[in-house]
Amino acid sequence: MRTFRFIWGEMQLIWKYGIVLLYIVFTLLYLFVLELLPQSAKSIAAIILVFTDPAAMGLFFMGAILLLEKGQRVHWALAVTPIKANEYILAKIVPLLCVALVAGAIISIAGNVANFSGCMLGIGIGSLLFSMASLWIATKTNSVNSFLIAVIPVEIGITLPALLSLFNVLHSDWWLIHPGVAAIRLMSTKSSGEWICLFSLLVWCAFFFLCCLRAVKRYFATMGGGKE
Amino acid sequence: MIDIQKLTFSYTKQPFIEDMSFSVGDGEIFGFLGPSGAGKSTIQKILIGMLPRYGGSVTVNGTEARNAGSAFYEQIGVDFEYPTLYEKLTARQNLRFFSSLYASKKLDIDALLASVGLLKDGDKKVSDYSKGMRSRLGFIKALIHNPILLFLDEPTSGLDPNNARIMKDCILAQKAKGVTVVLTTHNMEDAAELCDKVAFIVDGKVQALDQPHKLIMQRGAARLRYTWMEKNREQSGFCAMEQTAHDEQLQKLIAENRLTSIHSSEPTLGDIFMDVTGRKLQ
Repeated sequence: MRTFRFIWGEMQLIWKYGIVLLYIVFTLLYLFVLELLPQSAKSIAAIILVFTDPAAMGLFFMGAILLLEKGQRVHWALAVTPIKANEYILAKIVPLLCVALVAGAIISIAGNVANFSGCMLGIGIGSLLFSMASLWIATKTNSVNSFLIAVIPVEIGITLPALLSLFNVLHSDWWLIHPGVAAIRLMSTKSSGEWICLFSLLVWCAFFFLCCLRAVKRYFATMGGGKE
Repeated sequence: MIDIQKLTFSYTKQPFIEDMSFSVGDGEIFGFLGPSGAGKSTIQKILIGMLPRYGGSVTVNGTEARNAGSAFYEQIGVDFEYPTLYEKLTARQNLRFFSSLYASKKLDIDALLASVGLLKDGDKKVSDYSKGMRSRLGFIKALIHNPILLFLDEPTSGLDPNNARIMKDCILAQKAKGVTVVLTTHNMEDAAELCDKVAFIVDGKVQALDQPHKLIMQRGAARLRYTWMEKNREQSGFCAMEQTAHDEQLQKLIAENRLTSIHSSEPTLGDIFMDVTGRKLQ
């Protein structure tokens, strides 16, 4: 119950931070862009849009939220409540996942994507991966500049191979080990490869979750003044 | 409530806290006094379970601090020196948010706000609060889940005398409820007024531990300061309280009815701290 209450509190926070409103505007903007495109390009454009924005939103927004909250020292207070590191991670990633899924679903429907369920899975797991990668980096950085320096190579490293795979530049199945490629293949195809993509993404999720867990525990131990 | 036996801890290979032992009784207000870098915050972090790699034993309300889990945090409240609040939320929303993280019975938010004079500002965003208002809100945030042990770090720091008085009355009200309070402060007046016991911490060691009044009485005798006029200039003299009858100057001035003032003065806790540790609190 405590975890649900914490997630609900974090949802209210992202509303207060204006992220929900921002994504209402972005979604309307993307719908307008899709409307301008020819029918044949809509599906692939929708996949690119949802992969590079709603799914990847956590990469920048998670870091921004964490850095803002670091400045307000709220993590000091959270570190001495009954919440555990795993609950903290869940409470941080689930609200952004919800926004990504709703915005992604609307854009996917408007783009008439062929594999809606695969697309939603790709958006969902992609959002979790991007958010956890960002959370991991943000616990280790103290300024917007150092966060951006660390996060931009991660974004390029995930999205570039994914986009190259979407346009068949990378077609070896070995690329399914790559989280970005696995996510975009899951979103764009309806084949037996779905299960491999899903397995690859779940392994990556578990890896990022464990990294975040370790990072958050260490980060919380530095709270409260004294020597850090 | 708290029992520390042979505590050792260091951030590096050099020893920092060595062989520290003391205890804090139920319902006591216990003060940690010491200069910056003395180890006060480190001891507090060990007590609240944030630094589990220590040597010795630290039992807080029956739980070894290194094993602190959710149940442990249900019972303690911590108010840090700096505000730890969501600036985008109102005071009420902050209190509601933090109270939702506890399973225990919560205190009434309006009653808490009223207790520190913030009831009419409860729906104001924290970003619009002054420093004093944030301190008071931070304090009641630590009380929201009705803890039995309270850790307060510099609770009156930066507050005007009026707000400092409100804060001190709130701390005393917690003591009256039976809450144990661990206070970390530089402020000797606050410590002397609030604490049942104080520990002087310097370089990771407890240099003295006792009731403030006992420390004052043990270390420094009260003195008399008296003044008189001579050749149109005010002169002053001092004598130890127990030497009053033997101070010839004073006896002569009394006999000649020439005293212009006479005051007793006890050393302050700050004087005792300097005397014991050879250090000054900054």
